[in-house]
Amino acid sequence: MPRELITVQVGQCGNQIGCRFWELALREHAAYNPSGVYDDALSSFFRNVDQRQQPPLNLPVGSGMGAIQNLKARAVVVDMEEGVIQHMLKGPLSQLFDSQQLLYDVSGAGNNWAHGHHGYGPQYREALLGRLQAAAEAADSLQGFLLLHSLGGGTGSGLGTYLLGLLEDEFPEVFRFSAPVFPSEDDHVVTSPYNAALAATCLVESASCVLPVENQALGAIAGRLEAATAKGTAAAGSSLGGPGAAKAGSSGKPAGGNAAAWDAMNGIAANLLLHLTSSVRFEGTLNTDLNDITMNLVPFPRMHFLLSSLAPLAAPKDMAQLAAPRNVDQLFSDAFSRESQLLAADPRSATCLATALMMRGRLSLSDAQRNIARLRPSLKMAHWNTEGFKLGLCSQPPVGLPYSLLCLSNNCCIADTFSALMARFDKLYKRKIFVHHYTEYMEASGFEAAAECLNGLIADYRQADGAGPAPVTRMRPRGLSFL
Amino acid sequence: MPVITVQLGQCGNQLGAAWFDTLAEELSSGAYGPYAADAYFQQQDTLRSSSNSNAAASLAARAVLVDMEPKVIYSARQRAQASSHGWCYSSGSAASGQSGSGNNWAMGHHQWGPRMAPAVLELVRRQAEACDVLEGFLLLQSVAGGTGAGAGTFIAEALVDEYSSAHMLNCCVWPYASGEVTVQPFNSLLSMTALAQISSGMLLLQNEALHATCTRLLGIRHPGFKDLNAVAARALASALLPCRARPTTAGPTAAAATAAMPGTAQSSQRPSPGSRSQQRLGSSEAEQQQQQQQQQAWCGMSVGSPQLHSMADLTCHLFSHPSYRLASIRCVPQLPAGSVDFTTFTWPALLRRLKAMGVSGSYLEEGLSGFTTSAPGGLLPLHKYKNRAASSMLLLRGQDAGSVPVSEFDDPHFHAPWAVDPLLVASHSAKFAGWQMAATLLATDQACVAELQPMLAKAYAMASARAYLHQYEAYGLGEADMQQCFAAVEDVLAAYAAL
Repeated sequence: MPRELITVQVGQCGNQIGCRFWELALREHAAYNPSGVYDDALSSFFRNVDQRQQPPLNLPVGSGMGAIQNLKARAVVVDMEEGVIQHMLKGPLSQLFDSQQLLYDVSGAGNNWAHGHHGYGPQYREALLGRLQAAAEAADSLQGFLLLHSLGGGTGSGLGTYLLGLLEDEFPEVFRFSAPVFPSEDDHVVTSPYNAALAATCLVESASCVLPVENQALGAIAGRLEAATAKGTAAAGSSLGGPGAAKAGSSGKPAGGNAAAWDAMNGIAANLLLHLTSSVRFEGTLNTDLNDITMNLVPFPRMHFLLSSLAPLAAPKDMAQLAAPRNVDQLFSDAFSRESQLLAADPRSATCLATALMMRGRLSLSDAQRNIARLRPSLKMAHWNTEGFKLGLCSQPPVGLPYSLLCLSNNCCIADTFSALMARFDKLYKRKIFVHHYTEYMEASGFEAAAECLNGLIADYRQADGAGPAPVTRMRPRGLSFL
Repeated sequence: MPVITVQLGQCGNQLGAAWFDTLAEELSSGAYGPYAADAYFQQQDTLRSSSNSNAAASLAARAVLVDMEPKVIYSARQRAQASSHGWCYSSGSAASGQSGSGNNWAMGHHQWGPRMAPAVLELVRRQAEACDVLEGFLLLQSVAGGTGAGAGTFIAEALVDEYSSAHMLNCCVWPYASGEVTVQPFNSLLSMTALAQISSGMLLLQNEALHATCTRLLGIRHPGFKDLNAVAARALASALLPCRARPTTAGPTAAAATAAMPGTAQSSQRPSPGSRSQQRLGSSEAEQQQQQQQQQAWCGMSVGSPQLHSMADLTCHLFSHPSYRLASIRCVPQLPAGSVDFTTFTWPALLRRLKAMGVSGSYLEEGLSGFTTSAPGGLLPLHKYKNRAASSMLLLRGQDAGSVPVSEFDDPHFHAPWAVDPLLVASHSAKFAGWQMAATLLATDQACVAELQPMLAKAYAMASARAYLHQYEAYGLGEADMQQCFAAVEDVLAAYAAL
């Protein structure tokens, strides 16, 4: 039986990443499903709809041999400005969404978290609930929600986190994964520290697991890829970044400032999500699905922010180069290097609480073990988990590559990201700059609560970083008296 | 006598497919007689095969496949269909949930177990009805994951409740020390303690040992799970395929004991039965001896006649003491397929190496030079014994297996001093795995708990740091349960250390 994932994309950034995600997902499934049957793998992300009936009927997977009639994405698309959605509806992805899945307004949230969360949230509560419940009912056994949004703006951060709260109330047993875009140092939205801090507080409280990405890191990676391919444009995909990309959003500028570079960055984030869900969709010798990730990588309840890195990031010019084991080892080295992280952080600088290595394609357990043995001395591991790596093996590689690796780690260096965010937050809040925009919709105490929550989180991470072993009292054997 | 195999979780299902494949291959030689396949397979009417099964398959495995995800069961069926030995899984023998257990033992045991149990029991009932006399269950599971470990343990408990007179042999796969799952310390210890209370016995298969066998002895540089499963399935098959107990004359005291209790198992020759038996009767472990002898009597192995040996006999002899329910399995020779033609097999060499593996506690047939001896009786100086067993079983397969002298295995230094007739020898003349001679040693020895100690240390460290405890508490497994589990593991370690 299929295990479905519903994607909720909120705000400009969320929707742009979402669009790249759907393109890449379709490309991947098309490559592995040449005969066009609607099978279990497709059903994780897509519904098969018979449009001839009124209302349109969702066809079940059944024996897994039925032909695809009309694919609709299992998604809820939300934006308070219509630019991105309109662009999407005019493009090739318009067929994937029906009007019941969309929710949009025209005026936008003005880069104001409170407007999104406390303004639009309650206003559209019923409509949002309706769409979420419709999507959930179309799923046989819902495994999780993937929330795509940015934290620096107004809609993605405010309305996105409001939605997260709704999901927690309505579907408490379903996992809530969030893939937010954190604002970088050089973000040009002035209020992004406020928005990010207020949104991050909600993520700490309501999300099951968060995989943050940062534009700075993505931009650097995309720039390196562009230089490496020695071609003008790095992206291979549609040009969705047209009017939307130039608008003020929560993202920093990429090196070239052109649409293709935005696409590349969004593509990397989209690839992250595809890789994460590959074991749910395709088979392998060591399946890892999303609740395995939540279980193994979240040792303490609020510390569920994971550092992620992907390798390789693009197909090399000479595919034969990838075959040798030396390059497999390079894959693992890259995954732990600072440059491949999707967040500007150095995984080797702080203690790693738990790590997952999810492999796709022609990689085997011995490759993983060999490389773990090789790299472990250079990593700081928590004293209670010196050898624990969660491994996952999926047999289907990504399109165009023989294998790839996703490394997710719950690393204390994420405290640095939060500290930097709080430093920018404090700089503004000390003088109460722009606070009056927020207090139209919320109490000022919300800021204090956010600061307290995030500072507490930073303290927790710093404490776990380099914590030594506590004295352990062994249980005494009870002897044979229990027989 | 039919045995139903229950494959639990991804590991269990993958191992199970390899297990049935190996069985089908061995049984297809016909050397075990026309009814041997009946223990693990059902003869299937080929005309009535369903669309899912292999059209040419004449054997339907007596198996129930359980997993939380449908993909794994699907690939097990695929493997059966692709097999060239004419077997398949009967349709409608699988139960699958929808979402995985997330490597959470508590989720598997407290949430999914109760939900899946009725469906699984129904499938088992159907298989049981197809058996004329159900002998027992063979459960294949890993102990580190969520489904095989958590839900699997719950299902094992349900089976024991439902079929209280059937034996249950658990084949537990122990994870790599370098970790496949971060929370494996908690999961594996929770599974072991829960199973120790209800299972007749647990055979431990260790991924590390299997991996080392593949890389160092079988010449497979990068073994995948398929290779590990093949080695494990072969070891299991060598233990569970039919064979005959070898009757040998017993010492005077033992003979008196057997005369008093009809149907007691026989032992092979021992070097000095008189003095040992005096020691025995005077020891404080007299009660355990009684228990052991009683167990053996119930196995129904009659005095004097070579009995066709089954899983129940294995369980009765090997796990006769309630404190010693973990056993290890060592199967020799460990050779790459290409070397078989170039190897000369001799029983003395094979048995000497197997004995050395037992004495040293190693699972690999190498580096044993310090543990072999050509002294008569096979006794080594006492300090060389790194490993002791409560009871052991030696299975010989191949030519002349019925008559090979095995006195070196009846070694008083290898067995616990209070053990009564700790060694059981059985043999079959059929060639196993294409080898002229093969030998397997099953023993409830200290080597198999060697891995428990480091796992317990890690579990203590994690528990003291309070890592992951909230994940278990969410499903009703609190700190008190963890402490109880640790205490039980300490008990097991103490019992084995006292051997």
